[in-house]
Amino acid sequence: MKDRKVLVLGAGTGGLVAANLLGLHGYDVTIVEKSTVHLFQPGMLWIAFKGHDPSRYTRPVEDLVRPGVKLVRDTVERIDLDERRVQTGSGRKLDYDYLVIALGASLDYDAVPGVAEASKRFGDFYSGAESARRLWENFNGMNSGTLVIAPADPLYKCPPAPHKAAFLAADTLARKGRLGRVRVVLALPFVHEYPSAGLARVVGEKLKERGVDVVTMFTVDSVDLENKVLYSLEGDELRFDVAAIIPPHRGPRVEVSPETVLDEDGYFRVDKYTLRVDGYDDVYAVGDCNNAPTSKTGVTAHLGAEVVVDRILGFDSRFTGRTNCPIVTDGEALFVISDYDHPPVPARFSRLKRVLEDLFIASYWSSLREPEKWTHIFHAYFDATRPEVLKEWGW
Amino acid sequence: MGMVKASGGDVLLDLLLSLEDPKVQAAIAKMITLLKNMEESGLLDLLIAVTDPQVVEGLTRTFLTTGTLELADKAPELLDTLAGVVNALEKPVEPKSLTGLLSSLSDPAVARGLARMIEVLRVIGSR
Repeated sequence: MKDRKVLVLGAGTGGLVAANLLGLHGYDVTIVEKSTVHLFQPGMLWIAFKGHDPSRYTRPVEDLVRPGVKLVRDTVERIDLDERRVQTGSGRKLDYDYLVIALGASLDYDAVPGVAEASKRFGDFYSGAESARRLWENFNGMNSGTLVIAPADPLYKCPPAPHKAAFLAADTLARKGRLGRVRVVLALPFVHEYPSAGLARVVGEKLKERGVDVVTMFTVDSVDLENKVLYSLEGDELRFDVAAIIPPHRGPRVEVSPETVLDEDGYFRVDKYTLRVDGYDDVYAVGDCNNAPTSKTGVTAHLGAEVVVDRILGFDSRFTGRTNCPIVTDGEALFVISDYDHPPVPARFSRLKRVLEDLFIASYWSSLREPEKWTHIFHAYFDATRPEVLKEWGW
Repeated sequence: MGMVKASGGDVLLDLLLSLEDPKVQAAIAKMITLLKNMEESGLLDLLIAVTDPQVVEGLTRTFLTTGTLELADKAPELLDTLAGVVNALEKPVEPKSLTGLLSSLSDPAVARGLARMIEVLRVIGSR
């Protein structure tokens, strides 16, 4: 087994879980990662709207890689699937017996005019810890005016992120006694307050209760930074003092041969159950970089990585597209639970779920480095909360 | 440009250096007392047994279930309802005759309560 070489591209959630599990099983694993630091991405919300220190949500990548797994700090320039070779930025050529692509999605600021400038000026909660910190400074400095939170495109990772942003922002303002003077507006490119109509009522009511104004059917067409106006494709406009825009997303920026394995948005085409890249039986794509028809989230990346590892080990494990997206507000949370075969189950906000989410965040680093320690707890939880079991009562 | 992960030599050094912190020393001293007490009472042996991987897995499977999660999620409401029931049980009452029972149904709260009990019966009967 030691001579089965596995190359893992990316040390995000999917990459680390896959690499560390395969390393545990005696495979010869090498991870290629361009950054020295791993960021727990949901942390950007807390940095931006609660003023948390970025150090709470970042760890050196080398601390998250178990002994025996090799780590190469480099960019991935070109992937040649027929030659079974990956070329890195420094010119290194790496070959493999199995390739696990976990490069994530990339942010395409220029796809919508003004988004790049808005991010530079105000910061945002997607680009990174520094950008989130900049957003905190702008948001926290507001004594009056309007904060607009808006996705620039309907497709982005972590579907509840803008809602979480709105809740956390409103809660922070309420604690500081500023909610009357500062308006929080959530502008969404959807018909309802949540892309899933079933949850729209519960989420919409809670948003209203927490003092957030929601504008639906607002698809950002451009951001006019000078006049501080957002324009929508639907012909509406929204004035802002601070704008927190989620940039449009694309697949990872990497040269791939053959190009046909990428869809028109640059995501890797995969079999939705096995996560094998179309046409190749030794190549998998895990997490945000693939085109699996489920939400792009840390949970789906983690579960996808486990499926890929099981398949490499020879088991017929299948990815179900299961989601468990938290929508958090101070003291309470709700989980959006769905999979390929089931739309989101009825859900309600509760204190327990906020505790469970906090527990999950506390376990995050350990679950990346030693995923096997958490497998039976995670699986018992996912099993107990299968959509087909929760269906009637919801949770 | 690449680097291979080093082994744990530095970690050990960091651990030893942390012993210089008086708070760490106090904590370790207390831990030793705690461990001693647990050893004498047999609790330590019990914990070692409970943390056997098979036992942990079994406990997780048994108690981390849909029912537990549903109940835990509703814990505040559940406890409120139970408290209400206990209070009701402690209230002094006179036994009711048949006519007394029937006239109780004209109380909307009783009628609602009865409807709820029938729902409960329906759920139990459907299993």
